[in-house]
Amino acid sequence: MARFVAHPPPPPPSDQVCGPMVRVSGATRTYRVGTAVFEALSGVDVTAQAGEFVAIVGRSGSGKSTLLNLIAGIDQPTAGRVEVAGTDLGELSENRLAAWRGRTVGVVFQFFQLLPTLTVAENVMLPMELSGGVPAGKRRPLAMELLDRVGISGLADKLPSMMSGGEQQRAAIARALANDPPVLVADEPTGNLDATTGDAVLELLATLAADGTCVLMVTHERDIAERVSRTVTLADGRIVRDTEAVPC
Amino acid sequence: MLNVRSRKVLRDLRLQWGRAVMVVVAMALGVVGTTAISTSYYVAKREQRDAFLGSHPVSATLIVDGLTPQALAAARAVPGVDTAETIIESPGARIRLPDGEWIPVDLSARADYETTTIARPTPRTGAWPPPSGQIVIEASSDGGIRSVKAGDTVEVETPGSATQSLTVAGTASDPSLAPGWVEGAAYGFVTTDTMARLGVTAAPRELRLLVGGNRLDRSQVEAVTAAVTARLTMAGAQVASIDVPDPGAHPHQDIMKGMLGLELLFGGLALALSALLTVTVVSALLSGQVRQIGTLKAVGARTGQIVGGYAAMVVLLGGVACAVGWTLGRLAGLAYADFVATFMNFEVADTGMPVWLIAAQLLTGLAVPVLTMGAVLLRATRITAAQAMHDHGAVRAARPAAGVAAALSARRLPRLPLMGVRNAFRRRGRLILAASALAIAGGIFMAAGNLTTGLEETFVDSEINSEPYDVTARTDRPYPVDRITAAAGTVPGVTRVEGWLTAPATAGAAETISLAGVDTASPVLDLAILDGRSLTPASRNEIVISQGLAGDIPGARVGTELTLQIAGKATTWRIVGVARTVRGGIGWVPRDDLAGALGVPGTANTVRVVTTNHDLSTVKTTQDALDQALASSAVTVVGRSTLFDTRQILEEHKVIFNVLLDLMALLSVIVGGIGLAITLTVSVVERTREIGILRAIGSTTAKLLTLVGVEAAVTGAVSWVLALILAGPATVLFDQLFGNLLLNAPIAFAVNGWMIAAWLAIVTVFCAVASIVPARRAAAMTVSSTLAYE
Repeated sequence: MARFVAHPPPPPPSDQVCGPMVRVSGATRTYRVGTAVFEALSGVDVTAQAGEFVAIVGRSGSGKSTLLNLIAGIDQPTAGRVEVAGTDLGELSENRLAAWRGRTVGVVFQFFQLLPTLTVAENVMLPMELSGGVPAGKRRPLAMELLDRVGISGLADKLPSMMSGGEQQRAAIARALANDPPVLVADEPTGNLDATTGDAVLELLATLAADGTCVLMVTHERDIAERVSRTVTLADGRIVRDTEAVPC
Repeated sequence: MLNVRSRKVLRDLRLQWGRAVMVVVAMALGVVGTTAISTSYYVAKREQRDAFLGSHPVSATLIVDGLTPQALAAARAVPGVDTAETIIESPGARIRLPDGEWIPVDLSARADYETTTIARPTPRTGAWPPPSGQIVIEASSDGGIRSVKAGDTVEVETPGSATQSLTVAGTASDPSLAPGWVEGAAYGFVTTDTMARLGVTAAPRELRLLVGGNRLDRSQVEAVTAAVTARLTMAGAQVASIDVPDPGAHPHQDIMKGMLGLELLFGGLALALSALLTVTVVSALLSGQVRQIGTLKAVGARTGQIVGGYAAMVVLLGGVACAVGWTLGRLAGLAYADFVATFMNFEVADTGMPVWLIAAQLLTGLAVPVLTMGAVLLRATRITAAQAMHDHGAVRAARPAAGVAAALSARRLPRLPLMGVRNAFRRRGRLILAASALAIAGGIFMAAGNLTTGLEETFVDSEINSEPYDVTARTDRPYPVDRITAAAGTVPGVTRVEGWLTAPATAGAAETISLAGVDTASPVLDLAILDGRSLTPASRNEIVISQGLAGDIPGARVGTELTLQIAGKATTWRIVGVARTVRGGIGWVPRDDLAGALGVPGTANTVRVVTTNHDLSTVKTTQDALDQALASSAVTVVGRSTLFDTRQILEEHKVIFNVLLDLMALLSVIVGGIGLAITLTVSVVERTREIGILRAIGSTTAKLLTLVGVEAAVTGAVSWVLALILAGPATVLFDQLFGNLLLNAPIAFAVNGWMIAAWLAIVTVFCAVASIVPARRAAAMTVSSTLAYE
């Protein structure tokens, strides 16, 4: 099993988990396509610590997004086990998984997936409202604080359709941070952005990791190794390469 | 302040206002249906009952010979008799309107209108009671007589007397009468001295009883009537016939019952269609939200939280649907109650409804669509985040070509139409939903058409065909058969003359029936036999009874014997057949046997004639010539009718059902149209990106229209075939349910080819409109915007 140390050294996670923030053990995920069975992931083992900024790379169809979805609890492995922030995701129902995800994992999508009829600030306030972890009166100030952190506080009351791709992705990152999750997963967050904006988003994610968040990112970016603490390469559903892997 | 989820719901509704309006329309349809049906049902039933019972309808009518004042006093003294009144009627009277036309009128006179209790008319306009020498017209009277006003002069003639001029004093309403406009009759009220002036001087024979206590208890009414009969006999009078109508039942009660039954069926169908439509529309509304549901789940929303948000939407839309639907439904219900009131001869005096009914209307109307909508919501929101995030519409549902598409593919059809066929089958769930909604609507549409045709056949054609005599004349008394047939035989253009003898009789305790003594050798008479056989020239003391009579008299069936009181004497008849008729309790017997029972052998009191040509002009000419021929033979005619009159009366009797069935068909058109429009619109919107790809690789607007048009055509064709399959059993069900309520026998099964073809035309138009509009809209988008469509 490949294990990775955090770089820089992780601060204690917000929910006081000891050991790896993410532990994927023997995860297999198969899909049925018509009469055929397609194996997207095949016995993958991976761990990640708080404060790590992990890039997951590979060709299309290599299983990157599937792995990320398993870590985010968006999907469930056909076999194997996924533990995040000390929770075995296989033991949670779909509903409890959603509630857990709201508190523990921030998700950033390639196409942002901001709710089109809510303003940017409302998009950020939504996870707070869903988890109930932030008192109603504090949601707006906290949302503004997060938007300020990603540099778009001036657009708080705009609808997503009125913003550029980069601005929307920043808003999506702010939303992912709404409940101060210890883990942030991002599926090709720069895939739909121009180079300059993509750089800024990567910078932002790196800063988050530096602040102690465990960031896992699927990406097609070249030269990503210089921007992240480690790179995991997948091919045909298996890990074929990792960098800076250090046994615990 | 609203929370973020509530704000999202409101803004989503605003963004998708078109679909939201459709959801409201779908739900409102159910509320409109249930509210309209229950309002008209409740108000019409209550008002009809109150008006009818408020007029103190007669409990029993006795035809009595020798009804002296002493006998009348004896009848009044019988315990249980609340009121006993006599009435004088003048069969065969007719009235000439200001425009010169003569029409038959049922004239009646009472000794003292001020003290009349039984079936007391309510004054409408002008003077009441009728002054001597004047006439008051009953408000529901048929045709042109309703146009006369107080002060007009009309001419009135009774059989064998000179024409008299009477001034119209005013109008009055008698809710206990069957409405004249339906029966093809006019009613007039005069005083006894006016009646004498018109030549009717005979002593009263008709005794009406109003039973005290529980007058709605038939056994009590029959017991009191029997006691009165005995007392009259002791007083030296002879009771010729007894009629005890169903206590509290209007003359058109069976029609009311049938109409209310049809209304309930209609209400149920409206509710079912509303639910189906709601499912279709809500599915469409949610189809654009699948990604957002995935996003919500990804950021931590539990199913309950998402459902809660959409539940708020359901409540909001349901509230609007309630308000709009209930208001429209109540207006429609009251309008229909007014129509029923006109049909049943009463006025709606109070439109109020109890709170419980209003609450039930709203709950029932909304419960079914809201519950079905809830089920759809729950199903949609229970999708996992992964499924939602990966739902790319077309991709997920794409299947290998199968069935029709595969067959067409094998024949190497052009690619674009083939794509249209495949698109129709791609989302099979939605195809089934859309085709089902359209098919059920079409099935109801066709079944309503079939029932309309069946009603026409049963109510009109079957009646006309069973006794297709062009002209009928009724005489004041029996005359020798040879005399009246010989007189009629002299009329030019007559191909067949028959002498019939008609008489009332009493079956069982007090069931009055009409006996028709027929010419058993007639090649014209062709009864619609449901069981057994018709009469033959060899028939002796045999009877064919109507299905209504078979239902009313316990144990009356083919092979049994039926005892009838005819002119006060018991006679026994062997039932050989049951025939269908809408005319209630009728028995057909050999004329000579009936004449023997009446003690007038060899006589007839009705002349029935078949003419060479059957056009209105010939028939009218023959009718006038028959009158003259009979008058020349010293035969007094008191009633006359043509086959055209009979047809019109029968048509009027079923108009109330035709209106309901037309409404049912209209509802089907609306529901089917909305369902298909929504389905195709959503189907096109979902494939906006696919359309963008087609545009990018060179597809023209015409080709896009072909693509969507073929998909619409497939959906329409599937639904039409399903509708055709559904229409058969639905028609049988309608015929059975409705016929048994109305006639105690199923309505004749009939197929209305026009309605089947009409539905095909409607579906074609729906498909064309429902496909062209969204396809043109999609085609109008730029390639870049369609490719960027989420």
